[in-house]
Amino acid sequence: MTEMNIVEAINSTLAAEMEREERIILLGQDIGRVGGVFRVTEGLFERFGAARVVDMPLAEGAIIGSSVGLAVSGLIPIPELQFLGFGSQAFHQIEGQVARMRFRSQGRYAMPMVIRAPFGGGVRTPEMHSDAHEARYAHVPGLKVVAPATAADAKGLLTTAIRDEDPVLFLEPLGGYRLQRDDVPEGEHTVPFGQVRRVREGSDITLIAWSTAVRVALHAADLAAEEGISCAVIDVRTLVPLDEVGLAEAVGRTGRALIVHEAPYSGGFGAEVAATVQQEAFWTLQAPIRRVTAYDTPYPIASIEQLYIPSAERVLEGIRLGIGEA
Amino acid sequence: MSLVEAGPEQPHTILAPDGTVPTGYESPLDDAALLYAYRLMKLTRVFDTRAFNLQRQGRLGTFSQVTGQEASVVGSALALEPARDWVVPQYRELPAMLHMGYTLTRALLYFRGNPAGNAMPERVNLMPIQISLGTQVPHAVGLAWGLAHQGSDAVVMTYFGDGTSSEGDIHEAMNLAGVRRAPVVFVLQNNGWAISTPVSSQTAASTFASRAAGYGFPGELVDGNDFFAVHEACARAVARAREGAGPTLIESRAYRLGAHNTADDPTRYVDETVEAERWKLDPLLRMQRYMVARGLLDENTEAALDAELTAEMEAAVVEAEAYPPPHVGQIFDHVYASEPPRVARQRRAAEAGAGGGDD
Amino acid sequence: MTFEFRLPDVGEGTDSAEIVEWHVAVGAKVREDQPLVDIETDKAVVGIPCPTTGTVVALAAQEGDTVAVGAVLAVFAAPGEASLDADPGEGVEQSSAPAREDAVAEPAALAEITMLSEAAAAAAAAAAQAGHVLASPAARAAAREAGIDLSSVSGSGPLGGVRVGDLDGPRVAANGGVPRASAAASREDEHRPLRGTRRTIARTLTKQWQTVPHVTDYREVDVSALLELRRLLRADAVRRGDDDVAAVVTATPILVKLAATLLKRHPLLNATIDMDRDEITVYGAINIGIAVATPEGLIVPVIHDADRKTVFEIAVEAAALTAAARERTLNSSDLAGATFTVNNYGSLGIWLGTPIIPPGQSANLGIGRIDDRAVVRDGEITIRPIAALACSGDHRLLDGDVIARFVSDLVRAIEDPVSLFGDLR
Repeated sequence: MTEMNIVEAINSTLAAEMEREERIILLGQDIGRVGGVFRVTEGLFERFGAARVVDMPLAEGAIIGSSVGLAVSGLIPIPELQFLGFGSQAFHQIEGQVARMRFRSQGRYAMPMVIRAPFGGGVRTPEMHSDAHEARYAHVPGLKVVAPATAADAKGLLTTAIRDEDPVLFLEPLGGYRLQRDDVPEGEHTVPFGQVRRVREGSDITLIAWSTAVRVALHAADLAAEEGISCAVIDVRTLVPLDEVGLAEAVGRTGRALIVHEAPYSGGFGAEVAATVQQEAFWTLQAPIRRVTAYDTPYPIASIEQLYIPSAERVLEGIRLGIGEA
Repeated sequence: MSLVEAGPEQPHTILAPDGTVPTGYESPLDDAALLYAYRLMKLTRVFDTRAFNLQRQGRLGTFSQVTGQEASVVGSALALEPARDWVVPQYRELPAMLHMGYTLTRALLYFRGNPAGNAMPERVNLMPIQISLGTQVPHAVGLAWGLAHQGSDAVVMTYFGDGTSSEGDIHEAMNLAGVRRAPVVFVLQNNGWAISTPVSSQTAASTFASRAAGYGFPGELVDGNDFFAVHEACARAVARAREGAGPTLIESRAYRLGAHNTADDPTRYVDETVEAERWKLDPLLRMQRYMVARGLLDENTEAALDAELTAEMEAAVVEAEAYPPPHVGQIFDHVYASEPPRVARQRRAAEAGAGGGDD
Repeated sequence: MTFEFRLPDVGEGTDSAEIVEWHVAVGAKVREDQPLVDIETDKAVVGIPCPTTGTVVALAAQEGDTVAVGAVLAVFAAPGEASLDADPGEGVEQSSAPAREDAVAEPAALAEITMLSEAAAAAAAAAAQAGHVLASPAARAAAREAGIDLSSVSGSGPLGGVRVGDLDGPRVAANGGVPRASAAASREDEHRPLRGTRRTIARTLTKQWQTVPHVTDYREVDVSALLELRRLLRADAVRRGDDDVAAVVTATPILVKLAATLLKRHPLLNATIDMDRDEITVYGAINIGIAVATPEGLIVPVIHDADRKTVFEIAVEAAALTAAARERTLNSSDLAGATFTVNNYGSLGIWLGTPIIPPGQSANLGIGRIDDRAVVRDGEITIRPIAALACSGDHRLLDGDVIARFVSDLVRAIEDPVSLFGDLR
């Protein structure tokens, strides 16, 4: 085991996989010479060269679109969207091409790419840089969507994603890049898709979150414990494919669920989790399923972002509500 | 609204509408290749005519005829080596696809809405027909780049129209191709119309070919009705790419003779007399005149060819119509390499006839 | 992968069974063949063993519930798969899309898939382990309002979840029954679900009473010869050293033997009529059911081929069946195939009864208590042990004279057993 943060975990995983598989090629803005604006790809340009770590022109559509062609040629492209918010500039290629090419070609042209993108707030970025758009991508058939919350899972899920023959959107926690440090297994480490992570056991209510919201949920769980409320915390980790059994089982154990995510409320992925839990754990529910999320407004300017994204205090309110409705 | 603006650039031309070529001109293509080219162009015309009728009979869905652009597509495609080069089409390049190993049957299946229509067999270096205009052009650039990266000297040829060339993807792709020196040939077929939008609404530039300079590579303007001009320009572009000199943009001006597709009614926006004049420039007609003058074709051989092509088309129609209709499982097949459990459950429900959605 | 175990047909066309007792709990690790559950079909209790080795993920019914044959009884997970803490290992690889030929799902199985998803089973198992009751949110709210303890309510939802409708009984009970006009405080009624043997008996008798026109031939019988015969047979058994046999020779086995013998001469009383098929079936075998009163209700085990068994054999068998009936250890074959029934209710103190004919039979025999009575013999009053005998017949098949001839023969045989001897084959 080695203690590292998420940046280090991703960096070391990319290096290991590129070493193992020469067909892997990284492409994105500023990922080469400068090692990525968050230094996630630091050192890879020097180690693997300009042909495999490619600084691309500022054109998200071309970054993703050319990745389609690179995949057809037999390579395994790992394109980076510098911020998920700007994925909108490439969405037509992701939704209409990457996610469908295998289907359109009846299996002839696989798209084994991993699209890496940081998302989420907490670091006071300019407009659009922190937008959490995961729900839009989770709604694209043919695309898998994963969002690790820990360094260990960043390594494990990224390894699985790279080796998965389906296209994967790998969401990196902007706010958690360096904040989150944990023990990462050395050597080969994969985490399968479709399995939640049971972060903490508890008996009164199950908190469900992913990416940076997991830390918020844990903090809220600590506050709740002081009030005598025992919270279980579940990290969803993979949005597509979703672990319905794990979610249902976790909620069944307590009979109460509270979902936390950064993205706006309406149509957020929390709605999908809530619908799934409602259907599968219906007979165990003792309280309504609630979601603590950002408001149905555009991501605000940085100075008040802390009032926008869910805080531990707001989550605690949700916990109290859920318990109160015994 | 003249296609050829009053600019300094005039399309390069070799084969005149009357079928003559400049004195002493020798095509780099031998007789067999010329006959193959003519056959392919004719077959395309046969397909267009027959398929149009099938569409009107409800036996085919909406499709786009190549009529008027046969020389543009066949001339460009013949510059490629199907065994190693690639074609990334839009949807109006049937003969190029046939040259690469596609079949009439598959084309008919595609336009009948059968998934088999876009399933390219192994070793057929062809990407699927693309409906989302222009999205294939960045694919072509990535493909070319990726092939070169792996040490291949393969060349990728991609097609799009004058309308599509306004899409952002075209700009991004060509820009990237220049930067990467990708071995790609961009064939922009300027047929004068994007459905009902004339070129003059599409761009203020006098030519599309001139854009290439902005991306750092050469652009050439050719008469798309002229088989030899198109072929030569593309052969040069392919050779450039193959030796590592990077991309070329070929603007091939060929009049669209007919509608945008079977759902379009051009009488609403095309002037009849202008249209009539353009039929005189029919690429097939001038090629035929050339072939006859060269002694490669006469009434008998032409008639025999017609019969052969008609039979070939008929056989394809029969085969396509006899193909088993898609079954519900094909909604799910090939979407994922490893199907998520929820999707697998939906598949089971669909196959059991319980209807769509989840349980 | 979970394995859904469905209730098998344990007894010749059973269509449902009641859960008597579970021998495993949710979450238990079990081995194949270890006891899973006791179920009750008609009147036999049958033990069902675990069909597989693994972990119990869910039990689909509670004790006291009725489960249909073919419905899910319990859900098991293969060993090592029930825990979510298992080491992740390689990436999850799903089976690839099935070939066209294989992609056919069974519509029947589909209903089960929609009823009990793996996720729903997992949620229920987790709730059970945590000691929570399964109930719909609406039921929880309604129970809260009515002050009902959910754990006391039997649920009719999937996996035994309590629905709002299940609260009606307890809700009425919680409210102390139907409010009366009088000011006096109402006393609480006890509501018991109709289950098991009682329910089966109730349904059977309702049907028989409603469909079979009964006609009953009543006789008073002088049983002194019968009692003497009993004494002699017992002495004979003792003489042979069969003290156990002697102990079980009672009037009933003798009556069974007499009836079995005489039914050969009166085959229509060993028959049945089927109005749906317009058919009368005269049985080939003579199987006599003997009625046994048990705390759960009347049970009628069957002595097969009574005409071919000796009185001693019948006596031993009757005693064994009676004991088994009281201990609930009869099996299905012990209860099946009766063609005629003998019901000795004398020990209950009943003088005269009107037995109801069981399904599949056309007649039966009841005999009541023995009293010493003053009777007239040869013009003089004397005291004799008299019992009342009743023979009910299905009047659709049996006219009064047909029944009467049998009963007269039977009375003669009881009052003068020697009269049978001359016809002994």
